[in-house]
Amino acid sequence: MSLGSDSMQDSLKGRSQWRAVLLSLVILVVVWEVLGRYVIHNDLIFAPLSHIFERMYTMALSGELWKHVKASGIAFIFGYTAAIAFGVMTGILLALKPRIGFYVEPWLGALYATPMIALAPIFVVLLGIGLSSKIAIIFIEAFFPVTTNSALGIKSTNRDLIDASLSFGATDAQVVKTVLLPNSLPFIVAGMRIAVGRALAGVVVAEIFGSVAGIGNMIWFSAEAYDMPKLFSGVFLLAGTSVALMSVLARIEKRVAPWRA
Amino acid sequence: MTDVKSQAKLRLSNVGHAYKGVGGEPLTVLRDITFDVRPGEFVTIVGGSGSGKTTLLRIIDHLIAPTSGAVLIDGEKIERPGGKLSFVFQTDSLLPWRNVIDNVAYGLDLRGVPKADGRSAARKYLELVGLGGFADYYPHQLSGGMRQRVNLARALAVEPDVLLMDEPFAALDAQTRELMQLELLRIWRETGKTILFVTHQLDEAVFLADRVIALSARPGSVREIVSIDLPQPRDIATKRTPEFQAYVARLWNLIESDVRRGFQDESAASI
Repeated sequence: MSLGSDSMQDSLKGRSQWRAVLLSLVILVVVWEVLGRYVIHNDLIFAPLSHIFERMYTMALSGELWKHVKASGIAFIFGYTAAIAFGVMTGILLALKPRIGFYVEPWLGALYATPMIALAPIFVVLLGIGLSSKIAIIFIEAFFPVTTNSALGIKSTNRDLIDASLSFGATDAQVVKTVLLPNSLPFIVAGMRIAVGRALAGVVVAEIFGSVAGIGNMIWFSAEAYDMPKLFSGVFLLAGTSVALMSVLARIEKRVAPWRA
Repeated sequence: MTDVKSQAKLRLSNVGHAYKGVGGEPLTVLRDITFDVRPGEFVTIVGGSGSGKTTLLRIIDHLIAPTSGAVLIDGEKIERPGGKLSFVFQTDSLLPWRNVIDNVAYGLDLRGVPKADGRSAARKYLELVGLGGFADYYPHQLSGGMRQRVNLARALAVEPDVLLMDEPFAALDAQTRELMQLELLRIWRETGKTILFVTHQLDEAVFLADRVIALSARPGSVREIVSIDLPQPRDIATKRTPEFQAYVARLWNLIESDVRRGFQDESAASI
């Protein structure tokens, strides 16, 4: 039983990885600050970190930051949650009903590969500037990775597990509940992780094409005004959200499927 | 006729199976398999590649429906999986997201046994296979031999009359396999189950069995049924006796031509 030594190695690996992340972060901060203060003297293309965080702080105090975070956050929550709900259902249905999947899956593959940014203006025209077009764009970005991963989770189930279940007299519904769904769970969480990045990209795209507020809107307007501290504030917020959500989902993925580690 | 029927735990009468082969031609894999298994008997099935051993076992459990003939248990036709039979697969088919005790109770869960009752029954069988201390472990934390013990406990937990075992020790190393054979014989004696055990290893077939069924290949059919008159209980020393060796040699002679043909086919296919 090599159980103890395995988990010890894992925690060692985890600790040194954290140290590496921390070190590279410190280096990045120092290099950025030095570049911004002493190398690039043009405020129109770059800003030192201290200026960016100072700006974030004043925007947070004035309530401006909250206005943008709220506008984007609401759209993200609705679009992302709907994409997961419908994506999981669609993916599982397609995998369980191969007759339907046979017709639909090539199109799903094609749409997954299509840059959805190209469709964004269509949604704005159809649904107008505002929350609904934003939600639609975020939804369409996040939907496909969740769908394809959910379907993959069902289809990748080991045939022997299904046979074992059937040999105990399991009904089809029992096979789905006790074998296929648990098997697909880590795949679904992986799909949710991939969808985070795409959904956040969707937020920016949607707000560039049509919005009155939001992080994407803030980035876009500060770019036009060459307001670098404000622009980077938006970028940092998006990056931070993405990293946080993805690492939470990566943890959940490990939690629900320790045998895959 | 009727008294023979009442004696047989399991009866196969003229079981045959054919797949739809390439170009619509039916490909017969099993033909006219007829034999009885008595209650509490240990029967092993051997045969070269292409003899359809695994298909036969799956047909008996009705995971595959036979295209002809019938399989009877206690005189009744088997028409769906489950019931009085339980299956032990070659690969460890444990659910990776269930811990050991929940895996053993899996069959009971499927049959609607209350959770607490299922767990206490499972614990009993886990102890029978010698893994009482591993209830909370997950399959990926166990060795191959331990996983197959859990597999066996899971099959026993639904209290079947007949155990169908499909080369369950094939993936284990030689030493573990010998120990598992002894364990299986012990469990067989303690539980009095009827066991039908498929293997490609002739010494394993002789060591475990009351009778060995030798199948011929393409299509698989019963070539000969050999009664093994070696005293029980058997142990490692049994394998060193000349009688044991003679049985193995006899089985080898029975299936040698099929094995050689299969070997040549495979060599030809790989060129």
